[in-house]
Amino acid sequence: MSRLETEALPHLDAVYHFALRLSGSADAADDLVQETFFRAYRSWDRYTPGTRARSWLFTICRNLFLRGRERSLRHDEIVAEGTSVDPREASRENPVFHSTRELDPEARFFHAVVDEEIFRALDELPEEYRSAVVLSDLEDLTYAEIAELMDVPVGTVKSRLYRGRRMLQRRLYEYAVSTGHIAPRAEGS
Amino acid sequence: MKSKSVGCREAAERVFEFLDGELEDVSEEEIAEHFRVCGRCYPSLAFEQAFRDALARARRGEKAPADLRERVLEALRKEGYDP
Repeated sequence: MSRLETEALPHLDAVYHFALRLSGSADAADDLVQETFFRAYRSWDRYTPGTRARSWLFTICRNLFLRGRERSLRHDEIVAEGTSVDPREASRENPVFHSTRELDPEARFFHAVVDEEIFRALDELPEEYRSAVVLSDLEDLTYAEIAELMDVPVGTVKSRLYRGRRMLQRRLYEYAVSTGHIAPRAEGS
Repeated sequence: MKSKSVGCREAAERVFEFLDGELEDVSEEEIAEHFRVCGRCYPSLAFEQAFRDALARARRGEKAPADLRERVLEALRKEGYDP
């Protein structure tokens, strides 16, 4: 068995899940995965044995996606972002938590949100935030790995995770309110 | 009641780094201790944990196509891949 098969192919599922979140469709994800492994095969001599093949494959996959997106002129909204989280922003109480802490102190409403809705909410995030959240929360990459993969400083990764998670929490909360899993917070309370 | 070294503000600022295992200049034990003893901050940790659990559950439930590996290998063989 070749090293490609022992070091890269075990990450096929993870690359598929990442491709699915990037592209938003099973067919496009399938194509992205095929192309990612084709590129990995062609540039296998550039892979350093023993390093994390998964991060390398994710990098190829994301670059292919971004290149395709540029071609199709389907840009996400460009969001002004800093390279770090403002401590004042981070210490400010999370508005969703503020709305739910009395009614649902253990945040059970998150468990009532169906998986399809979680993916829909993720898919609606701007790509920069979506990729950071998916790579951290779904694929367990470290901040340093995500920073290298997205070619940004670690401070930017933290900022994207902070804002991406807050946006996602807001969407899931609105969904839970709309489906009656949690009552909306009364005005002024 | 708060722990001596970590206050509520710092705990709020560090909650993601704590859950992500990415704390630098403060120990995991110090932050954990604050969340353990501070009734005001503990619910925010439970909130973030429930959110993460929901994402992880969704990820576990999503399956890649069963024949994807074989199709990838087949495409590579056409390009000359010979293990």
